Amino acid sequence: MKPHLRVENLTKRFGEIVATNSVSFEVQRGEIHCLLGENGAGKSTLSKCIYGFYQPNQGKIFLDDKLTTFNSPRDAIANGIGMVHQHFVLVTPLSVIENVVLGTHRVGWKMDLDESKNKLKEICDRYKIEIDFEAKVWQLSVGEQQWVEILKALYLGAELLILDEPTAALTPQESERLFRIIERMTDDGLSIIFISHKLNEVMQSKRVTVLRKGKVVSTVETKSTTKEELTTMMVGRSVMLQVKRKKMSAGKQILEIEGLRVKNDKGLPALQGVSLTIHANEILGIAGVAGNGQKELFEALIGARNVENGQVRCQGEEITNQTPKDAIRRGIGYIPDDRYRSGLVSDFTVEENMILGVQNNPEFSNGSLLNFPKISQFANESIDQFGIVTPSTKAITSTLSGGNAQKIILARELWSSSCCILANQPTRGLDVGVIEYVHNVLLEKRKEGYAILLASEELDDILALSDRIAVIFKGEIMGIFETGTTSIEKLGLLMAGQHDAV
Amino acid sequence: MRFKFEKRLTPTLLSSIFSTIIAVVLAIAASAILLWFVDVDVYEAFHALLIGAFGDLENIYGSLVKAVPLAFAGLATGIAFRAKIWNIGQEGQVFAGAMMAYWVSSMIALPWFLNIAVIILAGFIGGALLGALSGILKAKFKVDEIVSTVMLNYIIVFVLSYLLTSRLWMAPGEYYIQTAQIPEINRLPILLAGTNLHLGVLLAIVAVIAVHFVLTKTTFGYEIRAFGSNSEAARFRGINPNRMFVLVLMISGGLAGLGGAAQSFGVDFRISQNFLLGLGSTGIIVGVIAGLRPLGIGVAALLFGGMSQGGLFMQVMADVSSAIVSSMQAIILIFFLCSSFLSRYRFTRIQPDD
Repeated sequence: MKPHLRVENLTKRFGEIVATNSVSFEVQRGEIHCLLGENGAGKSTLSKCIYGFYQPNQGKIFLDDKLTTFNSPRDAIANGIGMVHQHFVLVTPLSVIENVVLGTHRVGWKMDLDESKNKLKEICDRYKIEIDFEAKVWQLSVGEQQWVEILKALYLGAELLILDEPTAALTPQESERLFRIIERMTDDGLSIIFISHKLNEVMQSKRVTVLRKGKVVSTVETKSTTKEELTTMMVGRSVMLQVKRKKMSAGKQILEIEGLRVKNDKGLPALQGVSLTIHANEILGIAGVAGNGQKELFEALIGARNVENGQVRCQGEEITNQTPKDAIRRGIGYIPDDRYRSGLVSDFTVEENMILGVQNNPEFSNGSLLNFPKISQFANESIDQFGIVTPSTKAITSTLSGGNAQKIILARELWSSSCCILANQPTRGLDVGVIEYVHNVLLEKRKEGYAILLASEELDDILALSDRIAVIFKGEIMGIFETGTTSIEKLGLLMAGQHDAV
Repeated sequence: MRFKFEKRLTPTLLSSIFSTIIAVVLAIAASAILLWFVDVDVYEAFHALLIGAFGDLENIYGSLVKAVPLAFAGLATGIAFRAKIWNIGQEGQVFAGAMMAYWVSSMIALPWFLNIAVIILAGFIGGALLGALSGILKAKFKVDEIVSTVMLNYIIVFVLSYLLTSRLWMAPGEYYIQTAQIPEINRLPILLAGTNLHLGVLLAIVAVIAVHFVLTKTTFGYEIRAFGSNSEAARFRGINPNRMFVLVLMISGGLAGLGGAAQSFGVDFRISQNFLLGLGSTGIIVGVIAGLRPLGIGVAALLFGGMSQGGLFMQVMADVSSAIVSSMQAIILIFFLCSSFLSRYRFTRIQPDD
């Protein structure tokens, strides 16, 4: 049976970097095919070539065995290929139906949406997608917004749908729903390619093509392989997928947060009376989809954001509205979710970033003069200890990979912190090998007596690492549980804001 | 064989030097066209320019002296812009420094050595106060520093105008609107007998080295660079933005003020509105062209000093108006700014299978 899509020896270069190197794979009609790979493996570039966003330097793309050349996404769309990007491109003040018809090149000046609504209703009925056409996009949840993106592609007659990291911002229930509807679509003859690095998602596919460093490692039938096998193919070595956390009894209270009220950048309430306590030898995990107040919580704790109401105490001392300098001095370590915005100066060298925030420490300076030999020594020791891949301590940080840049932050925070670590999405955008490393580091500090506050979108990570789990939704703590006493379903419902789930 | 123009991943040193050379060449070419347009003998003009700037020892000394206030104002620009704090008040800060030095000098009568030291210190303080004012306005009231420094320029110049025309500072019986001559004891000492190389030249050299040292080797310089490169990360890592605004603008203003004091007490020996005009603004160009690097600022100041000195020669020998000289300086700035853009691109051969 001839494949719906066949890619032959596709190569795409950016200057001297070869993003995809002679990649070949094919997708059958009605198949769910997964492109699996770490950051920089080439899956995003590959899909953008298929979608016409990039033009490959070499190689051929065949649709139903016919050679095609796409000069822009318009050509791809005309040929029945649709793409849903990881970061949505919706116009939030407009309604669902308005977003769907945007850019569909309707003829005439009159805006008559009835015909479009009928067409959209037909699509929704066929796949049992429930959505209010008149709702404004800003009123929708992230999961519902994703459906609008998918409908946009279906509306234009997509027969092959490319989904980029589709469940990145979804609760477990929403992910479940997405895959059920995808199955219905493929039963109907639609082909789906989804790009992912999350192994749970991958197992939902029929076949998976594993990419590593721009090349295809292998294409396998999903049901005849395992997560471990796929990870080894992705990374090139075997990786421990779940760290082993030994049960420990929590020590004394280190960080007490009481009734915290904090505003976000738009002046709207981000935290509405959050209360948490973190003890020594404990990891408290905050489960929740990103954007429910996690960022504001961490920023308020380290003093980078104003606390409107409430109290924070560290080892008994009140630290509400402290300055970031105080936080560093008090031994509070902070691993941010956006390392290049709040944790590193990209133009600085590796060693300069190693001392960011602690440059005045007598270890690194005599009075006002920087002590370069000591700084370099510290940097070299950290590079060895954490396995940071860099040509030298004087390399510019922006040339390092995300994982290695994160390790700089880790090395620095672990050195300067003494009582607690605040980690907000510490493994976001990192490769599997580095994620394993970060998890082990956190567990080690937990054993040493640190109090650790960990926020992560990956529920699996929270479950593996945390002693207790707090679910956050729209700035409120929905519940705090000992790990293992609550089911994933219940956590997922709380993450979606359903109070009566407990 | 076809070529294409594509973006580099990172500008290399070679590409920066190459594009700088192209910028200089194009700047000279554009200036030549300008000169030709106003019916000036281009060769004679450039010849006069070069001779006037560096032709003989006396001219070289003249260029050095002219470079002094430009170096100070350039350093003021460099240190502020490195923190991405946009001080555009060098013009006013130069005046403020000269004015404070003049005021203090009229009140003290210490032994010669101390006198000079106090006058120089007053120059720094005058500019620093003005800079600090902008810094405080930004820290406390979020007043944009571009707005406040530019407006203070006008205020200071008008204050001087008032002091002069109200005869508070104007010498009795003077025809020109300027102060009395600064007495010999207060003038900056000459470094080399028989020349006009005054103490300011030495101070400028020391300042260049000092600012370089501070930026590269001290914790404060580290904080300035971190803050300028990523103020958000700097804030998260304990660097206080308000402290930065006030301190940096204070030091920046102080440096510009030193330039004003050096010029008034080393060359002009009077304060008037005309003598110091344009030094601060040219200092901004000097700072930017040098890529905000102190050592480069020293070189750039020397070049601009040479252009100013040579410009005088051009006016006399080749009959070129002073407006043309200023235009040439502006042309050079534009081409330099474009050259940094150019260094980010490169020519590559199109691969046969592209």
